[in-house]
Amino acid sequence: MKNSYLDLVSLDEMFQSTPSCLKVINSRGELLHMNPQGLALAGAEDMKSVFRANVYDMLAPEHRDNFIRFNQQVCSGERGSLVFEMISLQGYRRWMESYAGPYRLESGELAHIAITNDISDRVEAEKEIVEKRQALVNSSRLAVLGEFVGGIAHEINNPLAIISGKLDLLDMYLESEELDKKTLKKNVREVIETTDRISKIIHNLKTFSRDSDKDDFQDCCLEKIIEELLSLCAENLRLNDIDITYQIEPEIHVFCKEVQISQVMMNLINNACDAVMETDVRWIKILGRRIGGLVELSVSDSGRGVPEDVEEKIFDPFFTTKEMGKGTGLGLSISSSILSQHNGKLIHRKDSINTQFVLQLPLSA
Amino acid sequence: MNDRPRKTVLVVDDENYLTGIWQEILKMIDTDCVMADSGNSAISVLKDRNVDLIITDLRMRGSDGFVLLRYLKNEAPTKIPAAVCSGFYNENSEELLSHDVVRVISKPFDVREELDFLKTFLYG
Repeated sequence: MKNSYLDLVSLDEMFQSTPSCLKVINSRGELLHMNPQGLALAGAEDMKSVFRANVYDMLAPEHRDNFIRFNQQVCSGERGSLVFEMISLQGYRRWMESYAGPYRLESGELAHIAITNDISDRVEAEKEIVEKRQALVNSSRLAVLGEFVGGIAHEINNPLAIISGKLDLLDMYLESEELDKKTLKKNVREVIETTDRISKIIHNLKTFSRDSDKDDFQDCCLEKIIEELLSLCAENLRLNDIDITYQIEPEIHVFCKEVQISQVMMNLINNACDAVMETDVRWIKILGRRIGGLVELSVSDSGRGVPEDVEEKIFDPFFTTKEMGKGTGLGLSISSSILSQHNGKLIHRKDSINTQFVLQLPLSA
Repeated sequence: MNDRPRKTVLVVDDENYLTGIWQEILKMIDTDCVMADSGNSAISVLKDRNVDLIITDLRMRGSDGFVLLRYLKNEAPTKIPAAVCSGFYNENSEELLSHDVVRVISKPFDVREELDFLKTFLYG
C-alpha cells in the first residue's frame, strides 16, 4: 500500500505539469533547466535546444540590467520577485512576474530557481486603466479651461483692438504723409509690446491645454505657476467683479508636473468663483508658503463654504452641487488623485473662517 | 473746420493705449479729448466739465461702464450721448437695450469708420 507522498506524486511529473514556468539559471544567466510551460513561453522546441542558452538575451533591452542585478542577488542567496518583459525566440513580447530564490547545484554553486507567470493580460489591462484615467484628467482640464474662455477671449481682444487701431492710424498717417519718425517709432514699439501680451496668453493657453501624460516631474517655481495660471483666469474673475490676490513666498520650488498642479489650482479657483458669485463681497486669496518640509498652497474665498451635509462627499467622483451642465463633478476627485501622485494631499480645511482648500506638496530637494 | 465750436469727447477705458488711439482720432478732427479709466472716475469728470459725447468701454478694472450708463440714465443733470466700445457686447445685447446708447463699437474697430462716425455725429 502506497502511503508516502513521494509514492503518490512524482516530483519530476510535478515539475513537468505545473502551469507556471519553472526554471533554474546560474549566476551567469545560463539556462540549466526549464519545464514545458516555460519552454512554451520562450518559444523553444525542447530543453535540449536551449540548454545553457543565456536568458539575458531573451529580455527586452530596457529590462536586461535590472534582471542581471536580480539574478546576481538571487545567486548570492537572496529571495525576491521581479516583473520584467521578455522577448520570445519568435520575437513576441510578454510581461512576466517571477518569484525566485537560491538553489544549490550539485557542484555547490548557488543558482536561481524561479516560478514565473505570464502577466501580460494584467499589465495590458492596467495600462488601459492608466490611459483612460489620463484621458479623463486631460478632458477634465479642458472642461475647466472652458469655464474661463470668455475671459481669455476678452484678454486677447483688447490688445488686438490696440494693434488694429494703431496700424489703422499708421496707415492713415502714411497716406497723408504726416508721419514723422518719432511717431512711427512710438507706435511700432507699442504694437510690439502689445503683441507680446497676446503671445504670453497664447503660450500659457497652449501649455495648459496640451496633454500632460508624458510630462516628467520637474523642479518648478511656484510663483511662476500661479502667475501663468492667473494670466488665463484673472480676466474672467475681473469680469465677474471678483477680487483675486495672491501671495507666494519667494523661491518656493516644487517637484511636480506643472500642468497638473495648474489644473488643480484652476479647479479650485473655478469652484471658488462659483461660490462667491452668490455673495455680495467677492474675493479669492491664494497663499503659498513653506511649512516644515512641505509647501502649502491655499485657495480661500468669501463664499458661504461647503455645507456640512455634503462635506464628506466632495472628493467623490461625479459628486457636484453645481447646477446641471455647470460642473462635471470630477474636479475635486481628479485634483485629489493628482495630489496623491505628487506625494501630496488636497485638504478641505474645515476650521478656517472662510472656505479654504489646501494643497500640500513636498518641497523640491 | 476752424470756425465751428470746438467739441469735447470723454473716452473711458482702462487700456492706456486704446484711449491713446481715441485721442489721436479726435485730434484729426480738432476735438478735445478727456480721459477716464473707470465708470466712477468718468462720473467725477462729468461733474467738473461738459462733454458732447462719451465713448466708454464696459468691462474695466474697478467700476465698469454700466456704472456710468446707469448714472447717465438716472442721475446726470443733462442728457449726454454715450457710445459703447466693447469686445463683448453688440447692439442687440440685452444689458444694453435699456440704456440709450448712440452707437455700439465692437473691438477691434476700424479707425476710419469711427472717424467718419465722430465727424458726422459731432459736426453734422
